[in-house]
Amino acid sequence: MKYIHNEGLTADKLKLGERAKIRNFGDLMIQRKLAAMGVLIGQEVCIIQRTIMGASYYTQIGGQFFALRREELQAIEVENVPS
Amino acid sequence: MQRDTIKILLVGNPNSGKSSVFNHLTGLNQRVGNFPGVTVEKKTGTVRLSPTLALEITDLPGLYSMYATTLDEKIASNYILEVANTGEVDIVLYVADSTKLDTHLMLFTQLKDLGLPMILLLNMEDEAKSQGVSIDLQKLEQFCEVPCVFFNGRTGGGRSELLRLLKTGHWGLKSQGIVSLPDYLRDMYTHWAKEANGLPKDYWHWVAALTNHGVEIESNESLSKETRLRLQIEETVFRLNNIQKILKNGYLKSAHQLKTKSKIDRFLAHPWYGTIFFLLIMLFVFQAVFAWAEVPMNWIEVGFASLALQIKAVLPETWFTDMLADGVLSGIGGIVVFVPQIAILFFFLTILEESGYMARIVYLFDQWMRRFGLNGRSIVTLIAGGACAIPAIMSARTIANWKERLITIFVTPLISCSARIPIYTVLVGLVVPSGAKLGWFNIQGLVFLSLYVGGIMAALLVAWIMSKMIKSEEASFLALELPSYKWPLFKNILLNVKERVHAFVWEAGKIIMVISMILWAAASYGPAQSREEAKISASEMIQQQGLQDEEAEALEAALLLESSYAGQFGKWIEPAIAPLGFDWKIGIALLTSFAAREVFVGTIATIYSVHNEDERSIRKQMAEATDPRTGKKIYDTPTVISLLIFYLLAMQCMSTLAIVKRETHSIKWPILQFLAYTLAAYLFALAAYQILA
Repeated sequence: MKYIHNEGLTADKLKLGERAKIRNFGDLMIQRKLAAMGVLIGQEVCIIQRTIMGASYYTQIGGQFFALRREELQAIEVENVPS
Repeated sequence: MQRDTIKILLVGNPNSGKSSVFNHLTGLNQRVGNFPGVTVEKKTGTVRLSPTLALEITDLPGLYSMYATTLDEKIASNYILEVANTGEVDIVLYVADSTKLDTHLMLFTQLKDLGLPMILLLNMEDEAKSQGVSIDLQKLEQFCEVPCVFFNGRTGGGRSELLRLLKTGHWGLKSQGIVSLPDYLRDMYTHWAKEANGLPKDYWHWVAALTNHGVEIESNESLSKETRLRLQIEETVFRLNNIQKILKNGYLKSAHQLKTKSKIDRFLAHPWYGTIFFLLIMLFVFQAVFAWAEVPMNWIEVGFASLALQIKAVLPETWFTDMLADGVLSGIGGIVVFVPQIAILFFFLTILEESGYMARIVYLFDQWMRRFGLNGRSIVTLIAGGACAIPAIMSARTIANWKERLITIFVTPLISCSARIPIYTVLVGLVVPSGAKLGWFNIQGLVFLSLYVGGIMAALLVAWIMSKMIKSEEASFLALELPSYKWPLFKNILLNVKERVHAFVWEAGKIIMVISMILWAAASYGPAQSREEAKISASEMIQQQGLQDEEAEALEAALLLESSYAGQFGKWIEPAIAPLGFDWKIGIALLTSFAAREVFVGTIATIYSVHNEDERSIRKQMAEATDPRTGKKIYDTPTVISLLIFYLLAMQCMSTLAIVKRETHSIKWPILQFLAYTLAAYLFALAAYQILA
C-alpha cells in the first residue's frame, strides 16, 4: 500500500476500518504517553469503532488495541491511501 | 554473603500479569500499606525460603516508562529512582508479557541502565507460543544480560525455578546499561542545558534531570518542559527501535502479523449493544449485592442480637454487661454486617477487572463521565453506590487519576443506598396512600423514583462543581490499552476479596467502633436526676394505664431514651431544626441514625414506644403524633418532604465517613464531606419546609 501525505489529516478523521500510517504527532504530552505504550511514527492506525457520542475511539495501532479520546487522535497526524 | 531477607521489587507494565505473579509468589502472606504521604497502595508480601532466608517482595504499581504520566506511575518511577540510588533493594523482578516483548522491554532497558540487578520473568509464554512466537531463552539472556525465567502467571509454573535461582544468590552483577544512550541524545542535552551544572553523570542523573526528581539537580531550570518532553520521547523511541531490531534475531515472529479485533468486542464494545450489556451486568451485580447479601446480613444481625441476649443472661446485671452486650457487640455487629456486601461486590468487580472487561467499560463510559470530571470507571462505583456506598467507595481505588478518584469517592454517598429504603418507605407511606395513582403511575413509585433521580443529579452536580474547583497537574488521558480477554483466576479473585474485607474490618472498623460506642453511651446514659425521674414517671404511667409486658417495656424505653444524653441532644438542637419542621424526637433520631441511616426507623419506634417494629405500626404512631403545644400533626406533608430531602442529601453514615478516611488517607475529606452534605441537606430541607408550610 502506498500512503500519501495529506496535509492536516489526523487520525480522528479516518473512516471506520480505513488504514493509515502515523506521520507525526501534534502534541508532545500525548506523544510521550503513546510512545511509552509502543505507539510510534510509521505504525499503522485503524479505527475499529466509536462510542455513541463519537468522543471515544476503539483503535488498532501496530498490533495493539487502544481506547483513545478524540483529542488524542487529533494529535496523531497520518497519511492514508486516497480512495 | 547470605542475608536474612532478600528485598525484592516487582516491576512491570500494566497488563503484564504482575499481580498474578505476586499472588503466586506470596499467597496469603500479603500486607497492604501505602507509599508515604500518598494514597497509592503498596503491597508487600513475604516468602520463607529456608529457616534463615526469606524474601520480602514489594509490588509496585504498573508503569510503562520511567517518564510517568499518571500518579500511580509517578509513585512507581520515583520509588525506582530512590532505590536505584540507595541500593535498598537487592533485586528487581521484572515481569513482561511474552506476546508484547517489543514494548514491555522498554522499561526493562531503562531499569537496566539505572544499574538495578534484575531477573526477567517472561509471563504468558504459552500464549506467545499459540500465536506462533517462540522465545529463545538463551539468546534473550545474552541480550538482556540478566537471568530469564518463564513464569506462568496462570498456573504458577516457574515459581520453584525462580525461588531456586533466588536462593543461589547468583543473580547478577550490577552491569552497565544495555541500551546506552546514543551520543546524539547527549549532544542534544548539552545543547539545551548549556547552563547546567555539568552533564548528567550517568543514566540515573539523566532521568532525574528529565523528571525533576530530587533536589540534587537544580540545574535543569535551563531545560524547559518542552525540551524535557522531547528528550524523553527521543529516548523512548530510540529504545523501542533498538529492542525491535535485536528481538528479530532473538525470537521468531509468526507470519500472520496483525491480530484482528477479538470477536467478542464486536458485541461487548459495540456502542449500543455494549452499553446495554454493561447495564445488564451491573443490574445483576447490583441485585447480587442488594438481595443476596441480605441473607447473611440477617444471620449476622440475628446472631449478634442473640449473643447479646446470652451475655445478658449469663453475666450479672452491671453497667459492664450492658456495655459488652449493647455497646461493644452491636458495634462489632455493625461492622461485620457489611462484610457480605463488600465480599459479593468485589467478587464480581474483580472478575470484571481480571477478565479485561473493565477496560471496555472505561472506553464506553469515558465520554459521559468526563463531562462531570469523573472517569469511565466511576460509573461502576456510582452504580454500586446504589446498593451501599462503602464497598462502592472502595472500588474507586482502581481509578488511576487522583482527582477523578477523589471526586468519585466524594459524590458516591449522594446516590441513594439500600439503607435509605426503610426511611423512604416509612416516610413516603405517611404522605402518599399506597394505592394512589397518577394516570397509570403509582404515586409512591413516582416519589421513590424522584428521590433516586434527585440523588443521582446531586452527585453529578457536585462532581461537576468539584471538577471546576480542584486544580490538578495530572493531565487527563483516556489512552488506554485494551488487553485481550482472559479467564479470571479464582486465586486472584479470592485474594482481592480478602484484602478488601480486611481493609474495611480493620481500618474503617476501628473508627466505626469508636463512634458506635459513643452513640451507644449517649442513648443509654443520661444525667442521674432525669434518669430517676424518667423511671418514676414511667412506672406511674404504666400503673395508671394498666400496661403490661411489652407495652410497659416500650413505654419505659421511650421515657428512658428521652432522658438520655441523646434525648438531651434532641432537645438541645430543636431550635435549630424547628425551621425544618423537625421536633426533638426527630432530633434524637438524627443523632442515632448517624450510626447508619436505617437506625432512624428503630429510634422513631422506640421514642413512640412502638413495641413491634413493623412499618405499619410505626407509621400509624407517627401519623397520630401531634405537637402538644399547638395540637398540629407533626408528620404533615411539609415535614415529611423536608425529612426525605434531609436523608437524601445528609452524610448520615459513620461507616461511609470511616471508609472515606481510609481511602483518601486524610481526615480532611470525610470532614469536608460531612459538613458540606449536612449543610446542603439542612438548607434544602429548610427551603422545602418553608415553601410548603
